[in-house]
Amino acid sequence: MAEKFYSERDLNFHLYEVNDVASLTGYPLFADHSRETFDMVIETAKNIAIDHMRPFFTEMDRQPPQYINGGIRVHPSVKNYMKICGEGGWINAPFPYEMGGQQIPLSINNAAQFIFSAANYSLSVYPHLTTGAAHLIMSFGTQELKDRYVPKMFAGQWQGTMALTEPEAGSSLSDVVTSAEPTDKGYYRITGQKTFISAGDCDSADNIIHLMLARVKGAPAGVKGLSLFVVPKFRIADKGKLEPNDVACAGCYHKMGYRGSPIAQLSMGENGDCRGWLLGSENKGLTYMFQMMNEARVGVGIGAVAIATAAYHASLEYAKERLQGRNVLEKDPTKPQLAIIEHADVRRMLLNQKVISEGGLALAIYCGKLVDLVHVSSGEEKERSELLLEILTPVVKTYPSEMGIISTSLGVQCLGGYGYCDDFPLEQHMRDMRIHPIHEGTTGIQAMDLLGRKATMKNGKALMAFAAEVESAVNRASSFDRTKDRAAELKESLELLKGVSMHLMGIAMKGNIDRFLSDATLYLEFFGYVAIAWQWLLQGMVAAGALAKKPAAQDADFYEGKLHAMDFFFEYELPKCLGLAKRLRSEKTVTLDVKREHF
Amino acid sequence: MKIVVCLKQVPDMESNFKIIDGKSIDESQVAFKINDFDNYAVEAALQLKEKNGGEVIIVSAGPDRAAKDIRQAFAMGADWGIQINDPAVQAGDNFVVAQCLQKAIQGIGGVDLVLTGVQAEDDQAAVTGVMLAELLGMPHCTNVVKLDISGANMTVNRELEGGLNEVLEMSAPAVLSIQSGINEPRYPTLPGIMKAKKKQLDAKKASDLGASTDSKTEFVKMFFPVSDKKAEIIKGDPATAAKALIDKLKNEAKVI
Repeated sequence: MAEKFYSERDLNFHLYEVNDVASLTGYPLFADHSRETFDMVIETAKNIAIDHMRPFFTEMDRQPPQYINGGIRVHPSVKNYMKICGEGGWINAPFPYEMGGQQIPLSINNAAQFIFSAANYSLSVYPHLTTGAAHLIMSFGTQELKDRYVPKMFAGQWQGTMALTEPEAGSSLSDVVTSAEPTDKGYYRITGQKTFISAGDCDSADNIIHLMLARVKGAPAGVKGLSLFVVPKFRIADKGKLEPNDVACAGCYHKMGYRGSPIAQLSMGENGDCRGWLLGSENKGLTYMFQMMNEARVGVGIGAVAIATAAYHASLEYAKERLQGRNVLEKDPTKPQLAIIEHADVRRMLLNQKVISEGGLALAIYCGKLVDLVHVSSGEEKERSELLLEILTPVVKTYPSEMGIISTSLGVQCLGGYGYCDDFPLEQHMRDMRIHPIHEGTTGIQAMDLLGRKATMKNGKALMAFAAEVESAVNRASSFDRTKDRAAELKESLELLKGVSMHLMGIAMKGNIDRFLSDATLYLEFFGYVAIAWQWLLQGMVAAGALAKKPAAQDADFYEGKLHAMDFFFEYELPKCLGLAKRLRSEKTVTLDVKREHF
Repeated sequence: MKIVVCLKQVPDMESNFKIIDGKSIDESQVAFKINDFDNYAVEAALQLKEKNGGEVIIVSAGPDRAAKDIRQAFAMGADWGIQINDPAVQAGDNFVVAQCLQKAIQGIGGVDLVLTGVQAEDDQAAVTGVMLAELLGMPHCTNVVKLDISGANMTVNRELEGGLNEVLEMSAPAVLSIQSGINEPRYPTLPGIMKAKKKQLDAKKASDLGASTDSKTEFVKMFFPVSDKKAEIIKGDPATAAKALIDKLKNEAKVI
């Protein structure tokens, strides 16, 4: 299997040369940290990934979780990895000291997650889900709930989950029907079904703690009647003994990819004895969930970009070694064959993967830093960071997820027939990638979020904040010979995006909301191209500046590679905005006009 | 127990090496890390500390960049350290390093046990630990794959060729060079990383320690080995190729 699954050099470039993450240590919250501690965190993540994650990448796919006797058996490496994460402090790393964490900036935590996910995405999710669930308990739970659940979750002994989806309520959470009936004993009786619950049951942990959306009897219909509960698989009885909590695992789905992690079907209260403990107030469940949503969606972007990165490096390694064919002008068949990387079309496929994976990583690291800045800054900087994070969240979740499918497919293509076979990791990367446009809010949901909420929020203030950032980069890039033409092209695309946004908002203002949102996914795609072009321009500027200082040969190649990739993005990807803009401005309402009978 | 671990920072062997003027490697393109064998020594020391109490002290001879890996050992749980940061020591041979380590360890005082890796990944000389024992006047054992300590008495398994072990009884204080595989080195924990930056790291020069920087050996040059042998692909159908191969093994290589 390919040994290299990410580039340390590239990750450091994004963290320190482009985004100056070390500057976060200037804020009191991160003052105890330094570049040295950041490097040590990332180095340790790399070693864990190499030693305990990557070796099980293929095996976990070939030996997926099994539903046996009402429970799910997962690969033995999961338990070991959870132990390592618990003992190492990875599950609570970003939490404040008073919560037992290390106040690691999310930028650095995300970089570690990127490494873990690139090594073995399926394995990476178990502690990651536990962090999210514990975060909700720490944020909204009573002290008693915190004391009861969080320490064992942080220690990696208990697994956390997010139990939102139901058989009839996937993207439409307003239709959640799992019910919660208050009792006079401090808990609620939970009854209902949940489905597609990641790591919803597994034998790697002693207990599973579900953070579950349910509707208290008599609550309003829709999302405003949803409450959030802690529903353990085993509840704590007298003297700390664990007893079953009437949460039955009804099955485990057989998935296309991401097969090392189970998604479970759960049934609560079949015996009328499933107990849930309310987090915060009734009917605020979705509000609480959404307070974590930006970070969670940046996390999905990180996962997608990590898989695309691993696939890129695997296909790059192959392309450098695989001998096939000769130069098109070489007619002598006895001459040696060339490594396929010498063929222009293979280089096109490699560059396309490079711009997607490194462009996506650039945006993900940038957004991680925005989350940090929202936490630590104040005044205008905080407001600017919040607005940018709001508008970029659907983009950073979607661009790597959707384009990652294309990127991993190109990775398969580089290997030809071998790429299609399971002797090489590419086909698995492609299958593993496919979940990302689906989970944590589908692409369609992200698109409606971007156009329907984020682009219009606060009278377009978030959109204007984004435009101001892009324009600032354009102005700076105009002063470098190597980037000034690209700056002009980005400016043009930004103006096009602004024009299309105004056009669509005009439709919305006329009350034609169906039409306004009908092509929201195309708008999100358009936005993605502009955002990633901006990130490539930022990278290009840093590379051009570094090359002016005449670095050593290996560094010079790295920076030249960045500039070539920037050129590729602007030549091959950004022009796609023109077609999207044309469609988005068209008066034709094809998808609204066609009726089900016409299919 | 007061345990010293001698730690060396070495190039990551997967780096892209470039030799400058036959004298040194171009460090600008090289990543550095803890010598893998020393990692096992750190882990062995930490396990002894957990069992018997005491402290683990890292002593390392290396330039500024070595501090990163000394702190890595701090993050694993070592308590404090000494960095011998002196260009004259860096330019010296293993004897110079061993002598500086000796002086630093004597300066600490009351050391019960000195652990080193069995060898360094870069020069693979495997002499520093042995020289250090001689200089300190302590008994030593190389290639240690098992270690039991009860008070000042130690039972040590030493790895021999062919998978054999010899078992020795020794008394502390002593110098042991630790073989890989004796344990599974721990990863630094995140709390450990946060504590590491605040732990004491004393910087010393050879002159501070009263150590000489005169080498016992003379460095001549550094070069990539050049192979004058080339692989030969024997052509023809399997029977002919097999016959040709046997002929070559018998008459050219003379191995059968």
